[in-house]
Amino acid sequence: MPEAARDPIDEPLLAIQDLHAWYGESHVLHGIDITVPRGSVVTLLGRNGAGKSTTLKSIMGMVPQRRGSIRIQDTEIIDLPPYEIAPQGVAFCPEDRGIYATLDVKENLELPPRINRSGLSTDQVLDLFPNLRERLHSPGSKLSGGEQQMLAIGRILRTGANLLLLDEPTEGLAPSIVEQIGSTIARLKQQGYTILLVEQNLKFAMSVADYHYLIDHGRVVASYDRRTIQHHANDVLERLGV
Amino acid sequence: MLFGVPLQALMGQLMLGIVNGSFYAVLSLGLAIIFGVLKIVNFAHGAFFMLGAFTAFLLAQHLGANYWFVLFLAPVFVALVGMLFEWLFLRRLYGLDPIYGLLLTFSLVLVLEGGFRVAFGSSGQPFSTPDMLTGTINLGFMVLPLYRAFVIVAALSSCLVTWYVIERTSLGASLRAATERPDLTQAFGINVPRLVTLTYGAGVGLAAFAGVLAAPIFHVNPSMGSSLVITIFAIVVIGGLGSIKGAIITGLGLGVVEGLTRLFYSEFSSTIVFLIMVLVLMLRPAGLFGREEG
Repeated sequence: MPEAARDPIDEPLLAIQDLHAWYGESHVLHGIDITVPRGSVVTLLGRNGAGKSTTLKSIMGMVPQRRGSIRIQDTEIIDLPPYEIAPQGVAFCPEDRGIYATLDVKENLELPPRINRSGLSTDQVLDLFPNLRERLHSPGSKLSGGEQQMLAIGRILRTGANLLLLDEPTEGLAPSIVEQIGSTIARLKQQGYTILLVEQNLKFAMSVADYHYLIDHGRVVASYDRRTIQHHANDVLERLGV
Repeated sequence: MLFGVPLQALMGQLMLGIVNGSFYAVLSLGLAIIFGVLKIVNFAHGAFFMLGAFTAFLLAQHLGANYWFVLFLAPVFVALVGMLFEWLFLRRLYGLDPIYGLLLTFSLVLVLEGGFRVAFGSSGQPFSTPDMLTGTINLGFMVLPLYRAFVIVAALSSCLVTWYVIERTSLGASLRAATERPDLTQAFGINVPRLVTLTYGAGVGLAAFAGVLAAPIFHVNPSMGSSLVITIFAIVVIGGLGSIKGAIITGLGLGVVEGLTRLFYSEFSSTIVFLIMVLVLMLRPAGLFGREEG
């Protein structure tokens, strides 16, 4: 179990201030402010192209140009080279799952270096997602969408990171698998993980998250907690264009 | 007699083909790894081959170093030179049009070859075969010079070790991941720039290893690499750009094809590889072992 479980819940594990990001000439994020308390699940809601994924990628250093402040615990990470960000205790699961086609399932699972000893062992990940055990030596490209998503989540649980960034983990999956992912996220939260989730599915987001940020045109336009989002669900749905 | 050719001659050319093919395999393997990870066409590959041979020559003939020591030390030295070159210059060109990488590595060829030509002249320097490997083995149907047998074994072993490291170890898995998606691989906490530097070092180190092996067979001279490198490019294209297995198998196979062509229609022997390249590009544009994109 990660150390996070023992700490108070309202201390921010991740604090983003005035984050700007660019892809070439195009200015994508216009001063994002987000706080993710330790041990919480926070979602970024918004339409396609609002800047949700770019926010996650900016945290991981995968955006060519960015400015502002991103702090994990109390460490400023915006100037770190990309490969030094994961060791700060963060792990990323991209929208397209990021399964390598030239690596088999086991290699995919064991690719990210461990940050500390608190991560799951390969065996524990396979206990969590038994489907993967049978596919251990299949190439990553041969997995179904659901299996890929399990591999992508299992892979980051091995590292020992306690801050997980998940980009649309339910996208394109069958309802039964969405349910399974939901219960996995709830269980991870119980175990003390802190999760920042990009989601378009409001129902799913409301069922798992403590806090919500609504993002539009690269800015935070509203934020809610578990209670207030109930009152604004219709507004949010409208903003999401659903 | 076989196919109207004396058996001795056939076997002789076959052996020569396998020896050349072994050099092709090691060289095109290095080029393929570098292209896979750096997306740079390393025009300087032949120059590093030559640098390996000259390093061996200088260490052995001038300092009297032992052959086995040289066989190990020269590739390591050249790998370090390559890593310095990557770190100082080449990495500034990643993400730019491939033509920049081609021009930079081509300029390195001019500098290295020019420098060695000034220092040692254009004519070859003899490099004696190590005593332990002089002599021949009589196979019954042919007489095989011991050193050539050693070259084949050493070259193919180095290919096999490289293949094993890339396909079967966790370092190799990181390397394949960095080839496929460098940005995501960095986000997992893998130091991709360092991996890239090491890959370039390993690739040119392999070229230098081939250069040391070649030193006693060809004379050591400044342009020994540039005559090879064009054929190597053709082999990498035939095998499939970036394909490890493709580079090894195609290299060895085309060495043999070239050798046998010399026997049956010698005028054609220096063209055959390029003819095959044209045919392969027409029928399988991604190469024999390449993956079609998209």
